Amino acid sequence: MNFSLSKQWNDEAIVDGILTGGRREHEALVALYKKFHVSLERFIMHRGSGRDYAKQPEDIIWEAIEAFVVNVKKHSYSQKDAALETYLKSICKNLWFRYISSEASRDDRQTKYMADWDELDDDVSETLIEKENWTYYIDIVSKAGKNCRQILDMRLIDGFSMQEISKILITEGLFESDQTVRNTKSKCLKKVMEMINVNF
Amino acid sequence: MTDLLQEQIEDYVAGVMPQTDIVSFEEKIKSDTQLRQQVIETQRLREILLRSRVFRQVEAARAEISQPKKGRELIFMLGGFAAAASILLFMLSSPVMLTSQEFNYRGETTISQGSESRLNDFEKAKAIINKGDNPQEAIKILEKLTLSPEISSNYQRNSKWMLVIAYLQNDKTDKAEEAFNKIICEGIECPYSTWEKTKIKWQIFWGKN
Repeated sequence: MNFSLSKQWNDEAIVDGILTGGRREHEALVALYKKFHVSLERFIMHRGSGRDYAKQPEDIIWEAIEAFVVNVKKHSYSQKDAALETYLKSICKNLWFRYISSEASRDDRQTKYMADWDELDDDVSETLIEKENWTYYIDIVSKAGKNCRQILDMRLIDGFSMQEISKILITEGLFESDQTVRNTKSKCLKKVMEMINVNF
Repeated sequence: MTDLLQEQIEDYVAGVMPQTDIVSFEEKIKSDTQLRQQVIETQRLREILLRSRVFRQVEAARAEISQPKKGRELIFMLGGFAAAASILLFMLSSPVMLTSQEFNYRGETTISQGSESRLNDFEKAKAIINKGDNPQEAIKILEKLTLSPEISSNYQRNSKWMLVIAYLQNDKTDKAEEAFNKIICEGIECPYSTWEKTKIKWQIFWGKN
């Protein structure tokens, strides 16, 4: 079972799956977790202080996967830099230390944990620092309507033109005309931009 | 801002602007502060949308990983119940065996000829039931013994108990129930365990339905 999983989902296939998106991305994420969670959990546990924390190694692993996927999508992860497992371990380690040092006192932080803090690649560090800030804005976007989010996703992430978006959404029966799609997008973009810029 | 310029900003940020237009557009960005601000804000929105999508995808994968575990737990729990129920039913349905009981003959050191004959009958019935091949014969002996005023209450009770088992062996459930209800046996004085009594009740119930 494990043999066939690792054979089918090697590092390259996982990265390709994430970049393909949709169902394939979902399968790649499940495979990624199954392939590495045992070694990542052991890796994190080994660096525990023996205390009970609200956040479990499991949560750290999923946060690391999220950070990794963002970097893949932004093409800032390269397999030439590090093997996938090493890269994930690096993220996990830093997420874990960041978490336990925020829980510990300042003295403890400096003496106990920070001594073991590794220097990270710039892009990984940046991803981790940004994580908490982005959560707030993700929440804002998730409050926008489903249609609004879908149009903005298709336009700015998938790079579809407005004609292509209209065609898809009219075929799906979500909109009646090209003009209503365009109007919805304009209103939506304005509203979301205002909400973000007020708080940024 | 014109619709065309808005479309150009979006194409540029989404990375779908034709290569030939990128250079001139970037020149425009350098010279136009307002346009530069618009591009930065749109890039920021794209980043938020991207992270939002990744967050949803990762949450969906996490949900799928944890869901089968719950399913497995439920299967194990139901399987456990089914296995326990099967074992219980099997044990309840298996033939009732006589519990080895020692009875005093009213503390007598020597026994009369009549008592010896009844004792022999009792032991014979016991052997037949334990063998289980001729319950009719055991019933004949035990029906006589249970009615005999000569024997002690302990003996009478144990004869009734054996009679119930003999009836069950002979598929006479109603008679078994009738005989079972006549056994007065409560508290610590009762030589039969709750398990044995439950087993008899279950076999009567099973035989009647």
